[in-house]
Amino acid sequence: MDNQEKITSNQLIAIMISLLIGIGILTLPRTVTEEAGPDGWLLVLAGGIIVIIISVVISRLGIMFPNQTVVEYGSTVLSKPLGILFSLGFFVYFVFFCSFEARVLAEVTKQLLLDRTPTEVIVGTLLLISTYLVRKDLATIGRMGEMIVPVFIIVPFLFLSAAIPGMDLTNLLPFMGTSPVRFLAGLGTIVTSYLGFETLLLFQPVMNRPRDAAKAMSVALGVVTVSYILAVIASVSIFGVYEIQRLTWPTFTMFRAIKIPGAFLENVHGVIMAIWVITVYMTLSIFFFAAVTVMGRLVKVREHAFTVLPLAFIIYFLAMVPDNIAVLYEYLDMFSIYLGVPFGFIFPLVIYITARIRRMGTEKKGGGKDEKSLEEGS
Amino acid sequence: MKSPLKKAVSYVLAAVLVFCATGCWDRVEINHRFFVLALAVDKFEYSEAEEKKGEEEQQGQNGVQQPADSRRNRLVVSVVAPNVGLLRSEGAIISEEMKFPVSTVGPNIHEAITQLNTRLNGRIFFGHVKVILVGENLLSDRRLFMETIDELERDHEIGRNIDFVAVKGDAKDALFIKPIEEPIVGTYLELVFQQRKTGRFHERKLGEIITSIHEIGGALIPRLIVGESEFKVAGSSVIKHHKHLAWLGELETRAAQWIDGMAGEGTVSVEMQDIWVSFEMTGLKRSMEVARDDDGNIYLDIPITVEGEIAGYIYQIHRDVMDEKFIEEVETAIGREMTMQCTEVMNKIKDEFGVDIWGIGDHIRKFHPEIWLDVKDNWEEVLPDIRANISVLVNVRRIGIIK
Repeated sequence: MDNQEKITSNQLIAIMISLLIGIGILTLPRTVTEEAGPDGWLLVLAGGIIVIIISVVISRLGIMFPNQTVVEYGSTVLSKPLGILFSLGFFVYFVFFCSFEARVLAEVTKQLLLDRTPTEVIVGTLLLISTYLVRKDLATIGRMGEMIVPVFIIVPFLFLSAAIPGMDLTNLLPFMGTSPVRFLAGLGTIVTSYLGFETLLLFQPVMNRPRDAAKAMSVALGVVTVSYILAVIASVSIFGVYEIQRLTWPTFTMFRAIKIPGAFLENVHGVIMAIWVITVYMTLSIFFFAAVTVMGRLVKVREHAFTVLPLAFIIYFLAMVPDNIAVLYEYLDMFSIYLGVPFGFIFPLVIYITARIRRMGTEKKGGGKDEKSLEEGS
Repeated sequence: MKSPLKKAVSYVLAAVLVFCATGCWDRVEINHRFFVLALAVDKFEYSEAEEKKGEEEQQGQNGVQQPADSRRNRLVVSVVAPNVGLLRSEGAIISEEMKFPVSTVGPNIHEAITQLNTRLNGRIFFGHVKVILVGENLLSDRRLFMETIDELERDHEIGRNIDFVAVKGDAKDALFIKPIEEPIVGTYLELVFQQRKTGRFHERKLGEIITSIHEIGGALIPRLIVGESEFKVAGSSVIKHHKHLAWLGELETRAAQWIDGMAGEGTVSVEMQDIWVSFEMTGLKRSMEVARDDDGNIYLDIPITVEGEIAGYIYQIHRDVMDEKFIEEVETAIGREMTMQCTEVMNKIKDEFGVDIWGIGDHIRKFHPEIWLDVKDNWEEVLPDIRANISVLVNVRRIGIIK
């Protein structure tokens, strides 16, 4: 796997944007409004800042251990058994994430678009197409991302501009009316909307210039944060803080409420739906690729392609477990809190801090005495 | 080259692909769809006379069950679809009718629609519904009305930006009459709402009305009056506590919209020294100020600014219209008239009905959170006690093309 094609910074940006924007953006306006009322968008902003900080920490790890992923330096830093356990956890986490993506996509498309297509077929076809992409390397996914990201950033916001006359920005008032305690509690929920950035732990060594990772991550997360904020502001200003809490997928319903003046398209939500399906496909594929990478690195295989299809079956069966949409979202909440927060936020920090304490890695900055290696590093 | 086994496997896969990649469970041919343009929902009320009448009407449809007085029969659901065949009137033999209205009874909308599907040769599709009509009796039944609204909002095919009207009488009638201009009530109403900014009906879409009902339990719904062969959208139904409370007349509706900062394109007429002056509005702006004094009284100040032109006076025999003093007099007179109309409707809706259709509570919550904290729990009692003051400032900008 070390001989795979390297990705550029732009490709990393595209990968991260298409990875982070997925199933979360549908429910995001509702969840942040439930947490913080009209201040939901501030919550999104605060979450974005936290995630940018964490991703900078992760990118430091990548610089401290060049050409290594978390699978290798995790074992070095935390001792071998812990490292392996940790990597296995990561693998399970990514696999679960894939199945959630697939199942939520199936539920949404079944509700809004394909009434009579069986869930099994939707999930199955999605996974098969995803398999096709995951068998290739990260650079392929990156090129795919570069093609798609501009479309799904620009088109929805073009449509959204048609809704500006119907927006009532006073719905965002009162400003800062949420109690700080509630705001902090909401922060725990919002950061899970950004999950996916931790794949940098695996992708950084594949970059042609790993040093640029922090910058690229900041750009990508900045774009995602802005998109999230716009989605929240737009849907809150269209629906108001009460109505939005009743909508299962406010972001979609918002596009349902849009009528493009003078357009031949009566309903633009079909286009939005199509774009969203592609974003979920990308999210799924990248998590899938991450799972395959962890596995491949763990058992040290040269070629990961053969593990993809069996894994697709596992993801498929996991995706079929929840009985209905209520159970699905309950599982998803539990997953985000009990797996997402540890693997996204806590473990990378633990590794970083342990590595710094044990003064490991090529870039020992501890104490600031080792100027030589600092120079080498920069 | 590949081994025979590999070859066989790839052929099998290719064959599987043919079945996987073609066809779609949800494919429906366009001519097998029944494009509903208007949906009317009424409360089912059993009467023997009507049953007989119904029998006569539906003689052509043998085997259609007559609605009986059963627990299941709660709603009358009617839909109308255009005759798509007429659009390309060549080839197949098609009916001459412009539209196909059908109606049935059932416990809820979706079950009624399923019943209709057994009678029609196409699948009912709600994606192009332009207007939803609800009858007076349904509006007055809180439970049924809430069920209906929930079903409408829950259905993903029905958009939120469509029109929603309350029909005086039976909503079903609107679908079955043959109007002069446009055969189908759906497209007809859509055009009425788009083009005629008379201010005499409340311009709100389904989504906004539902939101308002959820937030404050009340709303204004535009009223549709069905005549022999025409419709009229005028006035509105006041919803309070999730059901119809009263009808609001045309002029009252207009004044209610002025307070809401809408309907800035109507005409106001006022009598000045025995001569009627008509004033055509071109713009209307409104703001809201809330203040509370030390005794806890809440004062609501609504200044409205209107712009427009004089559209009619009297020919030559009285005064010159192009005169600053005269224009000032007109401004005062129109302002007084509008203030009066607004105050009247404000008193009626706020004090008498106790419905917060203008989002006064919302305004307080947004701009005066500290006041809202005190009043939100008993907002309904507080609302009539708010002292409202409406003032209308009129600016006559033009006088037409004669002096």
